[in-house]
Amino acid sequence: MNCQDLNHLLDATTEDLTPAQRESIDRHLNSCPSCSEDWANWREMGAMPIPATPAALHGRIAAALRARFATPERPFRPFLIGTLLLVGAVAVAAVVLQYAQRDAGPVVASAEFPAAPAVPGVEEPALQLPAAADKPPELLPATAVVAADIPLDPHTVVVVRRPEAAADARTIMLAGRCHDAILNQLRAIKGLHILADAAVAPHEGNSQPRLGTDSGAAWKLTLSDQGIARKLGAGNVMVMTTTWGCSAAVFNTETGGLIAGQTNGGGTGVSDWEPFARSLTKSVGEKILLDDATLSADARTTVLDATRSESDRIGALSKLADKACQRTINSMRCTFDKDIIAAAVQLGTKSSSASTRVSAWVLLRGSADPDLVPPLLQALAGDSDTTVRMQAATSLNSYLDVPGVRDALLRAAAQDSSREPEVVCCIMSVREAAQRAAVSDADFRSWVQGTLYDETLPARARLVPVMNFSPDNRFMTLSISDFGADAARVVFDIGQYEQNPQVRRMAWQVLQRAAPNEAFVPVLLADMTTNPDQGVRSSAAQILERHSGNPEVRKAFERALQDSSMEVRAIAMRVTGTSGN
Amino acid sequence: MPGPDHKRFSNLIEPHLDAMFRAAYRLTRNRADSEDLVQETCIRACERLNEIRDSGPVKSWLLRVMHNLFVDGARRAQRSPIDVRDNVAILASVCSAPTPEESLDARQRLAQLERAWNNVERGHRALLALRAEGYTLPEISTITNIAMDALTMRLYRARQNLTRCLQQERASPSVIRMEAVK
Repeated sequence: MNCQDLNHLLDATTEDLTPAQRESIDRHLNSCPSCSEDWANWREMGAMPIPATPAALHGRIAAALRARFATPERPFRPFLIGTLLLVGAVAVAAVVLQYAQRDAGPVVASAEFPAAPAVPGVEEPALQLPAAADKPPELLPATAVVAADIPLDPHTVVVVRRPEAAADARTIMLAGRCHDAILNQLRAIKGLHILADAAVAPHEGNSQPRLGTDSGAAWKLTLSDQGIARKLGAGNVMVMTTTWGCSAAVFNTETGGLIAGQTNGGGTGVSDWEPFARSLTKSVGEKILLDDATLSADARTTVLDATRSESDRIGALSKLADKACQRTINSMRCTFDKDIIAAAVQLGTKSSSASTRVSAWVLLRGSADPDLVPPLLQALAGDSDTTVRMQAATSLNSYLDVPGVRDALLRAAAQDSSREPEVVCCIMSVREAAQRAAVSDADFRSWVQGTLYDETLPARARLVPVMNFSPDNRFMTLSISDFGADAARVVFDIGQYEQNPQVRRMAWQVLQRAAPNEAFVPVLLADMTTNPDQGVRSSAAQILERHSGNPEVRKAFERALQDSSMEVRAIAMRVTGTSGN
Repeated sequence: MPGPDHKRFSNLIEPHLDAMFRAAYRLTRNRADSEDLVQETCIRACERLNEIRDSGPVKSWLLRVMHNLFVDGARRAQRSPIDVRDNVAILASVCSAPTPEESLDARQRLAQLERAWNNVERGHRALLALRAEGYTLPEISTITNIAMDALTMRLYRARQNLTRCLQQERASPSVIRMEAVK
């Protein structure tokens, strides 16, 4: 049996397979890694959870159909009737009726579709049309559906605000001020045409926020945001949300591709908003108004200009890295020219700012230039800042084949003056970073597993290698599920006995990637409902979301709708199918 | 445009909303997009409601409308390639955030699967989604208008495509291309 035969057989319904066929299939899968992987991935994909059909969907569709099939209404026109009556009575009446119906005019919502029955506890979608024409309705735009043929102005930006459904009033208020600052800065950029607030509101369809309700990578343009921008002829749409405080991202209306985006995590005051707004809007303005070649040339000039501020030069280096770095399956390769590398090395070694020095080394990762080894070794051994030394260690992983590098890393792993990480989660100490960097790719997996199982290490050190945050040049991601159910049990045991909430939270974050295990539910439920730390509660909630079929879990989520943590409330809303405020 | 018969809508289309939503969610892996896709399918279906014979295979027809909308859709959001910027400032700002949802690491495995899934070519994605929903080859052939003998080959290619996309995802750690500002 070859691979194609196998696929043909497996796509047939199972009732059609004979025992002999099943045996052939098993034999082939056991001997063909490619088919085995294809089918394993396929099974995993097929097992991805599907939520229940939203209760509000029926109502939403009914409303959309009412809007779509609204019938026009026009009084008869006496002149027309009089003219047509000359031709013949019956025929004229029919023609007049037909003509009158074809006239454009104020649109009334059709009452043909009855409103969907109310579902207890579920809000109707925000878009509501008048059910009957008791009074003259508000005129709808002439193009009530997204028209594909409106030309899009590449220099126009539509700005829509989408606070998360679970955001509390204070978050919305603070983020709103930050968003106002962004809008003001945006309006000051010559060459950009901005449409916001009152100009946009009449075109907003379903106002249910969609960004930011999934943690992390939720930067996805919604149909209605793109649709609004398209209706208004704008080539770009900026979506402002309350994710991580104050966030804004600009997307291309046509493709939905991200143009620029930033988040001002945690900033709550004017001193945070203004520089953030300037930085974001500068980036947006450049990317919309300037072409790639101009941007690259400007960036290069800036990096090489020693009279420019270091932050400008690092920002420019970052823009060059966007273009200069290519990602392959297992690596990143960057091709900066020698002048740029020399300028970046100078920033990495000579800047008085540790943040600049770190940024320079980060941005040079993937360069694979042996000339970088001496300054990196110097930084590892002698920089006064721990994060710089940590980053130097990480970067040196790319040069393990260069004589002296592994020894230097092992020395740092044993002797670096700093033992503790700067931050509990994710970022390693210099010693940990150096230890990790000294491990070759071939040994990496077994090292990660060994570290997890090493009970002599502190809990945090055991968990960091299986977290995706650990900075690493090698771009090898390992998930706890790669190590089997026993490894998940180890992580669970670390978490359930860990008193430090940050480390406990890390354990639950790791466990989010493990296969669901009902045995973990009681401890996670207790954490979600009673742990005083918001982070622990929300990380437990993320795992429990996959157990929402469990009645006890579901009840807990119903109570969690009142949790003080926005993230817990957002998950609870998803599980219980309730909409926001 | 004259409105459709709401009774026919209730009888012919509404009973299949669940199946449509499930298929739409398999295709898009996003609740909002799924709802949009189902809504658009219903609108298109209602435009041609009078053409449907009450005794005909309505569900297959509806799924075909949805399939064509999805595969032909020009308004899909392109995901920006997720750039790794293991910038210490980014990690520090995320790690020091009060809640782990701000971590880009949440549900890594599922997120990788979903990203890989969204990188699978649309036509392939549609085939795999229908197969995952349990539709038989003859049903999928009716929905997609692909001949049976071509269909099995396309499913084979689709699975290979999924594997390739998943391999790339698993090898590339991902954060959003955006600059976190402390």
